[in-house]
Amino acid sequence: MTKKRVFGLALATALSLVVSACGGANNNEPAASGAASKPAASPSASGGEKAAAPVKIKFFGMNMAYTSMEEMGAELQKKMPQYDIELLTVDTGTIDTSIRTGIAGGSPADIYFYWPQNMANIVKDKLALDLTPYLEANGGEWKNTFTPELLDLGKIEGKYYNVPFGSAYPVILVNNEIFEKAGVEPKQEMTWAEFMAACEQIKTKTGVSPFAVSSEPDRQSWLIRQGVMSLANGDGKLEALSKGEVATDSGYYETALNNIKDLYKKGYWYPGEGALNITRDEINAAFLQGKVGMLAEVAGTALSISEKAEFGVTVVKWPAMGPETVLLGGANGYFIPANAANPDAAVEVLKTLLGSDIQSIHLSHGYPPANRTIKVENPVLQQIMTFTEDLYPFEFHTKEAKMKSYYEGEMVPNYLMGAKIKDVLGQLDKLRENAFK
Amino acid sequence: MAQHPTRRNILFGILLLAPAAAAIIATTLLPVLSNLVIAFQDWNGFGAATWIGFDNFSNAFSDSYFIESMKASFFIGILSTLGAVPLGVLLAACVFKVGKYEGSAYRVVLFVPVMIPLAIIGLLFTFLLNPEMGLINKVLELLGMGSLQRAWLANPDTVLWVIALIGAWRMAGLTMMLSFASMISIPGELFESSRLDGAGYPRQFFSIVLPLIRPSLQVSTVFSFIVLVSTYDLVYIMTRGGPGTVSQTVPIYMMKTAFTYSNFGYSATLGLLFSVAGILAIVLLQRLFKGENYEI
Repeated sequence: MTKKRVFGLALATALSLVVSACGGANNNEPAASGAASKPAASPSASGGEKAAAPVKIKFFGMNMAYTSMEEMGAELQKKMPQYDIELLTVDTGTIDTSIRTGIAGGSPADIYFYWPQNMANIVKDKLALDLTPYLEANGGEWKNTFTPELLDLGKIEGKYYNVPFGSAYPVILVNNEIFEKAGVEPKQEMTWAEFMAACEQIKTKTGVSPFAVSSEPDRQSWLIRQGVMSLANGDGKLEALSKGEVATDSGYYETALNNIKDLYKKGYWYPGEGALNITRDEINAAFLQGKVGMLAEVAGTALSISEKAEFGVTVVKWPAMGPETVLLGGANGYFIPANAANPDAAVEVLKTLLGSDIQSIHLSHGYPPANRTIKVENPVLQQIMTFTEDLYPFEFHTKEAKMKSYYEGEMVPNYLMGAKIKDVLGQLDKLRENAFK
Repeated sequence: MAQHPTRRNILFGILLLAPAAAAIIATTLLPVLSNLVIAFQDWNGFGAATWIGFDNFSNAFSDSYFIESMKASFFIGILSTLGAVPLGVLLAACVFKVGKYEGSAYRVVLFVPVMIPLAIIGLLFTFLLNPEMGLINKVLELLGMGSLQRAWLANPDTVLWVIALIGAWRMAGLTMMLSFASMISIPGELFESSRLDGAGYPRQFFSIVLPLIRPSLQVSTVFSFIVLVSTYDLVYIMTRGGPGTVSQTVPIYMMKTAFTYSNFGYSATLGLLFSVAGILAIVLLQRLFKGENYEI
């Protein structure tokens, strides 16, 4: 009996150790964003001294969705032999966890990939370094290389926390062959009704899935986010929406959710029931295999996907649930954590990476860069870049992590799985009110 | 007659144990104690922590995400264990009857799932269960059972069952190995005498083998339950807790709470409550196995 108890206690302790150890974390505290951190060190003094001794730089910025990344990484290392640059691959689906784990663990990367328009959350928790002194040094020499609209996305309360390397917003890639078979003409701009009519035509006339967007929260949420933004914009309430002033009983959310439910229930969303668990790789493969009529992707990858396809591809705007399309997103970029080991060296690396030489490689792979000193001549890219006129990068839900997680990852799946509209919207309203009180 | 250890021997023993004890205290005991303290604090992981008493605990009891994730974790833990243990015993009973060399080959094959990393198992089954191109749906189609095809991991009615079945498949090999190890230590005379009394293998299995291997079954049941109830990686690879939060287990919710919501204090509380619930379940399991043990 005693042995049994000892055995039971030992196993119970083992379980306790395994589980509860997940909750603890290192108590390393990063310096506060901006003021108390290291940027105060003279940017101009950084280069020479650091260059003398090899400095280890952890670059958590290899977003392999861009085919240019490998070549750019290699060129970066070649151009900066004074630094030992460790190139780490980014998974955008788990990026928040990776960043916060690294910073909380006290051994962060020196540079992180992140979206400038979503920096509020990171800055609120004092995790990012103020880059303003570096950008404005020497009469704004570095600052002037960026497209101002994109650079300003990472500006919070007058300080820059993120530097952009390219624009990022959703577009729709159309398989021209499927559209032709279905007797549908790809339109540059579509209303939601036109989009649904095209889906119906494709499904009935060709048998393939009309539309695909992956289930990762930052992707499937394009439907609800852009839907609500487009509807609010129709009533001139886009800015109020971004400030969290539009309640869920406005009708915008309900209309958008019902439109999405319609898309899902009619089987237009690839691959039908499994749409809530489909990955980006799977939908891209399906599109290239001709199993999908329209693919939702980010603008930056549109050209490389269309070049891989064995059929003609047209890039069109996201369908508008309201009178016209409103595109979410803005830019991709990089930030330096507040407790980075080598902030000055990290800035030097960023300057080289975002300079015209390496960004020209990015452009040669079909991605429009944020560096305005480089001229874009590809007509498809020029066309995609015109979509930026519909861009509105400010969204209310990025203000608070719980609300972001719910709005992007849970609300739509819960509704599609049968939750009541009152419940799903009630929860969003609670989160919104808490975040903006 | 045993000699009492001398003071010198005791000191020498303590000296030998000291490095291991220090390592255990530093890597296990202190983090657990630290976790216990954090559970009573409001701490975002970066700034100063504030002592808030039992606030995190009272929040947890009214947190529907926590309650649902507890249900998901225990559903997977209980169902997988209920599948893994009988399956493992059955496999052991079969392997026990085959020849020495074939038996060892079978044992290796059946034990392989226990050795494969969970991340690989997760990926493997993600491919197998793919609604469009996955083997499972293709086989169902070939067998004329197309109506049974599902998006197994995207359907809220099937996702937890599928994960539990995969867990059972993975852990059955461990029960098989432990049960088999016990079976081979049963004296052959017991089988011979029962055979003379006219007992076939099924009767021998239920009347001789099962009672004698009960301690091993107890170990494998408790161990399987501990492993499966605290599943993180398998679920994360296959569904990331989705669709929505249907398959969000407590460890996934803890990770989200700590590293996405920056609420380390609450995450520690969830871990503590989950551990207590797990310990209670283990005590219950011990009671279920309570009874007379036979010496082999």
